[in-house]
Amino acid sequence: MSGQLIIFWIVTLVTVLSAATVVFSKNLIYSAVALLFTLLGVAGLYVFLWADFIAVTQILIYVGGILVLIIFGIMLTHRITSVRLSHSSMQRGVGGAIVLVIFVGLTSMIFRAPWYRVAAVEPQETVRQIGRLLMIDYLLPFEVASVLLLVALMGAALLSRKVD
Amino acid sequence: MVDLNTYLVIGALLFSLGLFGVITRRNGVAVLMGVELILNAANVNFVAFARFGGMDLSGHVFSLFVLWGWN
Repeated sequence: MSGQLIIFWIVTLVTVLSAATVVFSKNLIYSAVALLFTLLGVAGLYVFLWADFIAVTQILIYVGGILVLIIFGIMLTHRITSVRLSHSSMQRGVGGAIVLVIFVGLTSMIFRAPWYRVAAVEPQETVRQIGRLLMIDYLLPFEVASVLLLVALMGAALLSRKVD
Repeated sequence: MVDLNTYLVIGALLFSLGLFGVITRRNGVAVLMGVELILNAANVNFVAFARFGGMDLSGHVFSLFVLWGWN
């Protein structure tokens, strides 16, 4: 087993185990910190998939932005003075059964489907290709996404303002 | 070395865990964390297909849109 493979399986193990911690932990802060490791592990998987730009973007946006936002939200909405920020689950048996059925179905589908795959070569540069695709093929979704973000920004400003 | 199926199974695992969080959690922030797991699973699948499908990098662009749309 080569070193690269060992690192891949370590990254995978960290990702999946911390995702399980996010879901099963009783403490909300523990869930948020486990989510940090899940997102970092997914960024590592992107590196193994030759997607360096996506990996860096994942670290910047998710870990640097959204996770900090979530922790701020937890600290602003809960009574931070109480030691245990517990959060409970409900209907774990039924939910677990449904999710197990879905997972088994997905896995059998994955191993049975005849995926189209070719031996790809490692791209020399990804950022240039992504930029060309964004500005030529996917220009309309790009603009729609920017308008969506602008509308969300204006809506947040409108909601948080005091009505006089 | 690592096949396409491995990445797809990892994506399915992340998706299942996220769905479990969404349907069992009572707290809104915790449900949001489950949604994050689901979106990450979708992103892993996009990038895996872009890597093994022999296409151009459209999968990367799609995962970027997922990232931005969530932000």
